[in-house]
Amino acid sequence: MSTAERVAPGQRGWLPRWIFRWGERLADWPNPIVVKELRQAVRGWTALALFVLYLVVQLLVVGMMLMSSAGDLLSERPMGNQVFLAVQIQLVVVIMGLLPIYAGVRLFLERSDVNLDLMFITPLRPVWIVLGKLLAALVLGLLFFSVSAPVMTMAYFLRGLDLIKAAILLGLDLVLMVAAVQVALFVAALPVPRPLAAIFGILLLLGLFISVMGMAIYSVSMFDSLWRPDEDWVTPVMIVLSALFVTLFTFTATHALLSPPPSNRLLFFKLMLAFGPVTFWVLLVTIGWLVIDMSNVVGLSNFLYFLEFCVLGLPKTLTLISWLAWAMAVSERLQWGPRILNQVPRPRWLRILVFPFYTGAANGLVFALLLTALRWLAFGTFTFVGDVFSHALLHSVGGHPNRSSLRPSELGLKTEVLADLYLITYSLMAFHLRRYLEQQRSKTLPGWVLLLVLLGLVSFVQVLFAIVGSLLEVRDELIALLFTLAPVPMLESLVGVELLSTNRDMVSAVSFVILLVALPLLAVPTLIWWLKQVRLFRPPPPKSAMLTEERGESLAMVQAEGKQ
Amino acid sequence: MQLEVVELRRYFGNVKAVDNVSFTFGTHQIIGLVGPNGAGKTTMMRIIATLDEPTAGDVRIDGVSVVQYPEQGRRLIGFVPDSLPSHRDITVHEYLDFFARACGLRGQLRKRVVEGIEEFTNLTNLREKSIHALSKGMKQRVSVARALLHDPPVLVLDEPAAGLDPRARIELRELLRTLCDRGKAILVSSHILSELEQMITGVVILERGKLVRAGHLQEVLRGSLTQRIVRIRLLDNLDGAVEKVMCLPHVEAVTRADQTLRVKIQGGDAECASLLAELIRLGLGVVEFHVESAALEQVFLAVTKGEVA
Repeated sequence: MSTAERVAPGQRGWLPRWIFRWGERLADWPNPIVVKELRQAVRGWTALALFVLYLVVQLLVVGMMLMSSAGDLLSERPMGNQVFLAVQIQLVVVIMGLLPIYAGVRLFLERSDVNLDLMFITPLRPVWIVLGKLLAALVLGLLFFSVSAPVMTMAYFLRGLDLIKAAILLGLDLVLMVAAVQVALFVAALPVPRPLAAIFGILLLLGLFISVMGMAIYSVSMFDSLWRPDEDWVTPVMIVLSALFVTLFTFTATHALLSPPPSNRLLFFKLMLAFGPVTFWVLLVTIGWLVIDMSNVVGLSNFLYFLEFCVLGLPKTLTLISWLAWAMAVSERLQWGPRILNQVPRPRWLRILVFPFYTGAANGLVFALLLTALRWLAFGTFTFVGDVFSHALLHSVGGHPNRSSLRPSELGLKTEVLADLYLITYSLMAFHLRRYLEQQRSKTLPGWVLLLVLLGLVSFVQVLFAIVGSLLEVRDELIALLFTLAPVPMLESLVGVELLSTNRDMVSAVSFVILLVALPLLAVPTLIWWLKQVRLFRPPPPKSAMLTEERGESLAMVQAEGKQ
Repeated sequence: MQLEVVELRRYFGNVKAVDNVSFTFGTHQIIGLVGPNGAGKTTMMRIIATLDEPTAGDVRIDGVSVVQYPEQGRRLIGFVPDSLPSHRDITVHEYLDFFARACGLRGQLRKRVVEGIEEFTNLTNLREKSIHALSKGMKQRVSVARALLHDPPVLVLDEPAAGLDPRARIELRELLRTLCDRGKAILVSSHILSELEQMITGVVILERGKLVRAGHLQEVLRGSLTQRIVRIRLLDNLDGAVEKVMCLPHVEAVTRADQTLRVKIQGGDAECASLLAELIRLGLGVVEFHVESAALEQVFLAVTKGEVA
């Protein structure tokens, strides 16, 4: 090969061509969204200002700490730990507070105009769009880590820095940063009007503030107390597992929200809802079985308490998920479009298997019913074996079963069933109301909003009646009766506390009777509609049949005749 | 290449945004999609661009259904929406490079394509400018450039001339003409009918989601009006001619200007032909007989009632 051949055209002559070729390939490799976001971050003043500000504040704080005998408050700690803590707290504020806000605002602004639409007419898949946004924020986050690295290294040379604790904290920072950014992206992707978006934004800010404060306090306490990694490793493990779960949950939810409405957008999210908690649960139980005999491991009892908390928390998790599934079911599209039907599997058995997970109201109703059944199964099982499990888990390490409110045996299966029957009744009401409104108007409120309005309205009216009733000194039994339609059992199921203590049996009995009448009245038309829909859930004919015949007279514009 | 819109329907509750619309067009054609506000133009364009899904019907490009197979459809369609690109903190070149990456273009090919498109759309001098700093006309150029990156045979433009100054409109018109000459099939919507008329080869008129007229521009212009204006230049004796012409069938009014008569007749091409035959039979010495074609605006007003869906 001659020298001329080895040199890339227009490039510096002394470098071989393959370097450029590899360079080009490397430049092609990243997700286009990451490239775009980073370019925007470099050009924009926000990220740059944040970097400069971070650097200046960091240098100022550390400089002041070193120059003065500042550390008075923290004087019991070695200087290395003090400097590290100062940087750690600043880092947490930026990567768990400001960075998620930056990422969320960017996505929100892109969603509010057509920019995101344009991405959907490229081959970019929604999952790559979400992943790109997440990765771009993470790269920026890592830059903040790298900016902190020199000062953290200096902290090591100042002596006294506990390297293991520092490594654990930095690891937690990284995991929590991923979760915080993903939560912010999820909030930014919520398809709600601006006033509601502002409320969600405030909630996000509040959540981020609490997380930042929590992490800052944990960081200080880690260096403050006699925290020993071989004993107190449960909290970091708990934080990592929770962050992982939140990240996965919000990632699939964001993917569903950002996918185009005609697509099968809920598939991944439903799979996550159905199998995520159960898989997590099986994993924890397996870990429990594996470590149960390792009584010599220090800190195992704390870990087993955490395991018990998570394992017994399954029914509660399923409660929230099944309720979310009902809210989704009443909001999903009423008919399947060609894009969804195109993805319907041809084998009938597979079609039945995947039916609940596909996007569509008919699918959503089955999915919600399945999750409700799973919830009842979990509650039923835990009512009888929860104690046995707790004892088995903790006996070997000499612990005592957890007395948390999560224990299903203390809640009562009856309340749970009643709560679900209420929810199903109100969901079906919202569903039929939405169907009616959609036939009458071009734009209607989403099903989940109708559901909330119905629940809120009934609760409000009944509370109002109760207040008026008590003012007029109406008998307690009559006031209690008013609550027979209210979603009180749902609230009780959620918080695990009996809200209605008087006349409980009477209320439950009347509620049950009302539900027994209302539910079939709503269920029968739903079932008829559902059966009609199920017949339509079939894939289109093979692709070859879709192709039209070749036309001789091409390019001629024709007006449809007799089709008006 | 042929794009077929087949019995397309898009309903939102009881509102029929697009109601059973069918038409076909192909390469070297610029089709104007016109209609009052709420006629269903944007809805239809979004369906063609795979951003929305029809309630029924299909859109096919060379027989491939873009409704059923949107991924295939996206390779064949370039879409320019009615709003301009508003990405912040990004230059023209970076913006086009991002979409080229998103379209799957790699390495040297991507570089060549982006530079080629920048040159074709006269954006080379602006490639390092921030998109936010561009004028509306330039932003529209960027939008068209983006839609051309994957070299689609079909271009769909929703109100591309809205808000542009006259120069930007003329430049856009020239750009679309060049693209048409290069073999693109172009569907463009606009409310500025006089502008549109100067570039389109065919027209589709919608009202309340329904197709009211479609066809080659000249056919539509000729066939849509019930009245015609004919300019006739006679050899001599115009004074007597005016009375004679007034007495002929279908003639509604006659005005005289120098050696020319301007005759308004009730009817279409057949009535024009019969008028010419009558003039010859009367021996009026016809030197010139010219049927004035109607403007798109006149046709639009004649065939639509200004109703919205």
